[in-house]
Amino acid sequence: MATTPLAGSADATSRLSRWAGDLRAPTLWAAVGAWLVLGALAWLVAPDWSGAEDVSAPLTRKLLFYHPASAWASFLAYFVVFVMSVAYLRERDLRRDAPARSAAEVGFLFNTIALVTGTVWGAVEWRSTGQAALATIYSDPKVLVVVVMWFVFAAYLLLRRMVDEPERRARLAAVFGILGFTCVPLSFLTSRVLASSLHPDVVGPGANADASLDASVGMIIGWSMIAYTLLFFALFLQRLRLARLEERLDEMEVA
Amino acid sequence: MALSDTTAFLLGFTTIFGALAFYLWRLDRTAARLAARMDNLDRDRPRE
Repeated sequence: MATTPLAGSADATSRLSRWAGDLRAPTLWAAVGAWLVLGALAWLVAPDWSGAEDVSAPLTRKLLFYHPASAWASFLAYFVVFVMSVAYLRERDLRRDAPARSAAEVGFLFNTIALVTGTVWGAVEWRSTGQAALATIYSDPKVLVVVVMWFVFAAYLLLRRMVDEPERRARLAAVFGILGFTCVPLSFLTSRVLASSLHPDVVGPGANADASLDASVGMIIGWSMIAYTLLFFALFLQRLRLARLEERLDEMEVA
Repeated sequence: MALSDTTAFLLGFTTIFGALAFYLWRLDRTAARLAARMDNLDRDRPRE
């Protein structure tokens, strides 16, 4: 359903653009600060697992403060893609496309980090299961859902490069964005519902991470979520600003 | 794939910081490309 842009919407867009630009530097500095604090907490405050008998990979376990938060940041980014994609399909307003594209790109970055860190962590932590490490990791339902999500958003980004016509590109991308986001609630549900899942949940209702994770660990994981959220917004705002500038240049070159 | 704890740790953290550094570099290159396009537009605009 096509709608006529409301009066003054162009002003609203430029205000949004300015707001994104103005917020960019403080958000980036806040993210850098939060990451430095996260590093200090992970290496100075978190328990030293090297002496623990039940921990097979004490060094790699430090990824606990980075891997779940990477997944969280990708889920947050894909939520933005979902909201903007639904808004685009309802309003057919191309201004909804740039935030979706920017969030998808940043989300794909965090999704890739979560997959690679999860794979190397799983390779050392789950090697005692008797199966080949990779087979163990990629037969886990939660990991499978995240892999599918990664492929959907890889297709989303490829599709954006292959289709030239802006309306068609935005419509197809919106459908892929909504489809890809359905993996987010699925990945939350799989490890909570399916008993076969090896993947522990460290946050939220139904968390089943092992008992060696004490209160300080929970606090650092909480802080890592804040640090990654800030980094997501810093990268997203920067990418959005560039996407808007690119659109404006395209218009000027056509004119 | 038999990874030692140290190798997995190094691979994991190299991935995190390497991927973030790569993305920041890519954003910087995009900004430079857009700045060059803007300069070209400026140069091609007829003078009044």
